[in-house]
Amino acid sequence: VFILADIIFIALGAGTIAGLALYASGLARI
Amino acid sequence: MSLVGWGQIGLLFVVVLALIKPLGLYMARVFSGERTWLSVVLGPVEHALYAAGGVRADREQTWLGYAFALLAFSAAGFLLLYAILRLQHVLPLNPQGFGAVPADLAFNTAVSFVTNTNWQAYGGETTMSHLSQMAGLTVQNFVSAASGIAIALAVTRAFARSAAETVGNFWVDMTRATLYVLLPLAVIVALAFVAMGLPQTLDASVAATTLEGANQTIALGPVASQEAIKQLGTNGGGFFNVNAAHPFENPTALSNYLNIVCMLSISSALVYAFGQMVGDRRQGWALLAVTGVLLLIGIGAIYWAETYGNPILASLGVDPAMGNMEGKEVRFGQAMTAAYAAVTTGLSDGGVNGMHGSFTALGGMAPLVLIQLGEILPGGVGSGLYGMLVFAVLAVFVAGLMVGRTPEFLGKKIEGREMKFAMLAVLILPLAILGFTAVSAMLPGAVASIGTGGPHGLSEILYAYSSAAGNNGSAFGGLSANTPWYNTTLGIAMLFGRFGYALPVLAMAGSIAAKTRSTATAGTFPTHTPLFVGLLIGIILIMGGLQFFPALALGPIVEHFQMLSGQTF
Repeated sequence: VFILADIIFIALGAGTIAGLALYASGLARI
Repeated sequence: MSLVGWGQIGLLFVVVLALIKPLGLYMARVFSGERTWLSVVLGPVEHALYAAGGVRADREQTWLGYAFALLAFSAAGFLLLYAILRLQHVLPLNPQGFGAVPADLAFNTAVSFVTNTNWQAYGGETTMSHLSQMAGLTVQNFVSAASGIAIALAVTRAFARSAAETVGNFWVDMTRATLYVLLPLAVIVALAFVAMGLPQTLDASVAATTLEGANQTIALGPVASQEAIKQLGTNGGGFFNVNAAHPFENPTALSNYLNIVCMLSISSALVYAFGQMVGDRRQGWALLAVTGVLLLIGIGAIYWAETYGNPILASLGVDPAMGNMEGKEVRFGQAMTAAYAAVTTGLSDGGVNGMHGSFTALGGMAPLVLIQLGEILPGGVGSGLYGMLVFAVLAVFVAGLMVGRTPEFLGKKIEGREMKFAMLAVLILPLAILGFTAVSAMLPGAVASIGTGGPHGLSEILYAYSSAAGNNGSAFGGLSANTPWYNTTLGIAMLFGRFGYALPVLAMAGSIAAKTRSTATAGTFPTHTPLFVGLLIGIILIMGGLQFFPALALGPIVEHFQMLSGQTF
């Protein structure tokens, strides 16, 4: 069932949230 | 405008005011971990959930641990909802036989409901199976609202505690918000909606024969249950495409009233609970006063603009006394359409009972401005409170600079570190809204989606990104947003608007929690007085509003002047 579009959009959603987690880690250093 | 119209609006405020204290006190008890009259029934359920999830309820988290829990929970919710939408054609409870939701739309919708935005690029009755509506969207209506409440609780504890390392436990806060507040109220309101005529069935539709003899399929489904949490959780995502303008979603003037009361009830009571939890109820009332003033201005602006109407129509022979009824349901009229529009955008609900793009230029601008102010009136459940507290921190900082004292809010000194976090939070909205709007206004593919030319077209794009980044979810109308470009970029704007705002706020909470809480002295700037209320209103309008003024000038403001000179869009 999983096709390329699914991989892209799952990566986009999960990747953005993972990026935000890194952002939170960065905020802790301020 | 009429006396009857203002009477309806006034009664609305009276009903909400009557609910604030009892509900606020109840919520303060729930979030302080105290027993309530529902504990006998829900206590075992709560502890079973902790046991199943391996949660130690007595173990609190630092702000960073709290933030990671929020992000992990949201990521899991996104993946689960995305899977349900993509696989709905092979899952049960699909009596309509709908196919899988397209990938870009599933991404947009999953992000939309996880972030409490509930932007709907789809028509519910023509796209979503009952399972998608119930197990997917409605579940997120509960937990995304509870996540917002949890963040607000972390900020509240930061002010209430002295020299603390932790701000609470995300899993406990979310569980208690869902179990003790959202779920019981949703059951009561859903039953009330059923009594008012909203459908609650697993049937797909009924067939009818129209007066002309044509066959018509009338969509049905579990509408009442979704409508209840849609408004209580300030989600706004409707069962039907036209949301609360649909006669099955909002059939009468009374159901319209209940809709608005539900939107305002928990979010207002949470502000009261804040006052209770920090030990000074006057602080809660001061923030509610700010909310009330700005919300009344918003309602008044829309009501005035829509009753003033469009002089071009009057010149064509339309009775000017009717004002502008375009985009409105006759059963609600201009007053209660204005009240709904201001409330749904003043807080982060985003449901609509009229089409904002069909309002006059200024009438349509008011909801847009209310979204851009940060949806803090009184805001989405939770998100409005922590948004308002960010502005309060900015206000005491400005006041401190003016009088030469160290800024202080609720006994906590506000210093450079907290200001950095506050500004990082405040700047995320203009970055996401204006950035994506500017790019979309230049891309031919994106411009092709707008429904109207001229300044109204720019308003359509600006409104879409404001609604997404502000986690509102209401649509201006006109923009064909179900395209890969808009589904993707609006989804990213929603994620930035939700977490790009919440994370600096949690960081600010951690910083404030660690400070020692000092007692007020004669030199302390009081933050419960009319002076502070006025200052806070000024800060909100300047910080929240002026950033968007140039874009508004190119959109609804120029459209208004063109209407006065005889051109309409």
